[in-house]
Amino acid sequence: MSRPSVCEVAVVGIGNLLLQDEGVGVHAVKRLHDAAPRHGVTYVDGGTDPWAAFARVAECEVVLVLDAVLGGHEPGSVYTMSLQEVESADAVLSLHGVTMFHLLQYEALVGNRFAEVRVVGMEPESVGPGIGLSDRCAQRMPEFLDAVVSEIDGVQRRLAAY
Amino acid sequence: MSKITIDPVTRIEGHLRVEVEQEDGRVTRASCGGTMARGLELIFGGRDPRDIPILAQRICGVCPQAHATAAAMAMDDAFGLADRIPPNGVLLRDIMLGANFLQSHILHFYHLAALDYVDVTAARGYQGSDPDLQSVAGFIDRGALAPFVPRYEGDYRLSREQNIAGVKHYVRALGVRRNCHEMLALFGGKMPHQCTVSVGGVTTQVTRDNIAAALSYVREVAAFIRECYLPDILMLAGAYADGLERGRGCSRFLCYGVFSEEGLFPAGLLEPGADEPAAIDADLITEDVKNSYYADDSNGLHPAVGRTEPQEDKPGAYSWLKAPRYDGKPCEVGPMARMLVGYKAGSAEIRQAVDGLCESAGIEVAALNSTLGRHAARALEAELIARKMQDWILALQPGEPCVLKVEVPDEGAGAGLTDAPRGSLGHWVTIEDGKVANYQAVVPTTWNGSPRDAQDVPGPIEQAIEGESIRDVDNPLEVVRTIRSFDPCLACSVHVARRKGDWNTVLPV
Repeated sequence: MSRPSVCEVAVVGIGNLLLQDEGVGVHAVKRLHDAAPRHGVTYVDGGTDPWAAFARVAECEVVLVLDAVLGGHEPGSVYTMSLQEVESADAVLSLHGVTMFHLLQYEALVGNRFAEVRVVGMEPESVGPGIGLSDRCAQRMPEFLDAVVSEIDGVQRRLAAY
Repeated sequence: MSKITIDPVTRIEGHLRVEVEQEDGRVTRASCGGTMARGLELIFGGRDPRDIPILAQRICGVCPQAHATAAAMAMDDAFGLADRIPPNGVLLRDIMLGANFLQSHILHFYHLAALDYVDVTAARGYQGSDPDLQSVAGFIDRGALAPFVPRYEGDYRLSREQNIAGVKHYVRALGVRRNCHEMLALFGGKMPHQCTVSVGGVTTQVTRDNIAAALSYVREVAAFIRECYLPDILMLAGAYADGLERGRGCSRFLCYGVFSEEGLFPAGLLEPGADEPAAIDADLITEDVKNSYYADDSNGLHPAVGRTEPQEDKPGAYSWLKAPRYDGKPCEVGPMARMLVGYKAGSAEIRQAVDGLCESAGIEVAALNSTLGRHAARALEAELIARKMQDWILALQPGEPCVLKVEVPDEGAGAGLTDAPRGSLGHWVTIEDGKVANYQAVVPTTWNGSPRDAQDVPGPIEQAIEGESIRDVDNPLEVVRTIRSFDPCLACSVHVARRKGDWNTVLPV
């Protein structure tokens, strides 16, 4: 996906497209990329490789991570939160255990400090093998996209105020 | 007797859970359970076979390229094209897979394994002028130790200078990772998840520009491996010599062979004590499910006809992994297996690399079969691949074709056997009516992390841990070091975030 010359906001969808709702972030970022290209916004299909995805958006000011989120509400529920509100795993036994937090810390170590990292998530209904979202998550996709767009609006307003 | 559970995962669909029973500080039984239920055939069945190499890379977040390569090879085979791929296409697949090997090995060592041995807190209070070390010291001052501190600590033996050097390389490795990604993206169209590895070759064009750029990236990576990675391995071998005696697994090594250069990483099966590896007969690969959560009537099948019939409440089962066996026996896969199979098969490059390292470290070749030996083999392999990739890049022919025009056959069957960074990877496909009818993959960690088989013989990781001595039951770092040395890879990329705190007080938008 294209990278504008000035990146204010990186919208990174992560998740596994082969596990139904687990891939909701990737589905969302593709929809936004096709429907809502905006100046200053970089959309990245991070898929199952957030390592590469975060490295790619290193120059961006703010990162919005789109992902499936277990929040305890009914499937399809949309959440927005700061990174600090997401539970972190502190013990890592394999490279698969490396979390978004570790990745962002690595970026900070090499001098890439994002001004802000926010998460827009959706409660999954089914994360079993399969391509495509569950009906319920598919139905709630417009809300999810609206939440992302309003986050982008908010970030760009804040950045413009500087 | 007591039981220790090493379960690092708080996210849904965890990864690898190891239960260790110990008595008087010695492991009496290890049970390695993977928590991924498979079901690729459910996903790929009925699809256009040409889509599978692109889809298959999504199986995994750490080695997507290996899955794309294995899937493309399986399709080449099923389409009857395997020996007609244009030379550029063969080289490009190797170069892209090589880039993935390099980033995977470097990341695994520096960002996961090294901190079991290198004490990052040595950078605390650093006053010098090195910006990387200043940055790490800053993290430590702020108490932001999350990326560094392993949960199991307490046995650091390096000097402060050695620790500082290790920390510096840790930060430098982060930048090297980027070179590998960029190199892959040169030919892969995008990053992450390249979009060019296809049935019949690679859908890109070779130009003088991308040859020059790739060469420049890989040379930087090669320099890092020479200047940092290999010396750091030797440093660890000096300080943690017992790591070369611990962690011996089943000592039967399997390698499907990887990269197309003849004889470089040869395929073979090396039995314990054998002088040379035997040729591989892929028909001898079966999967047992006696201790896995799958219906018993799918036991002992070849992956090509394998079935995945989950049975969650199966008595006695403890893993979602099946237990792959070669001729009925467990096999270790991965860099160490590739190095030892290659060494015994007479690969000149591997012999030179292994002999060189053993001489520098003052050890025998047999010592590679150990916890620290696995790391050493990984580093040697990285050095060798980075060197060979320069030849492969220079062999590319600008303007020449990279892919064949392909037509989907009505019927077909194929296998794609290669090696991923962490071990042998096999994809099997059958095509009916021009669509995928069955698809199975046996991934590296199913070999290494497999549960006991139908004869109750433990898998390689289980064998490597059993008998291990543990100094501190609350802090079983010996076991953790050995598990990590296998570079386990499971439950590929299921990473749903979980929101913390009291849910009743947080309203969804």
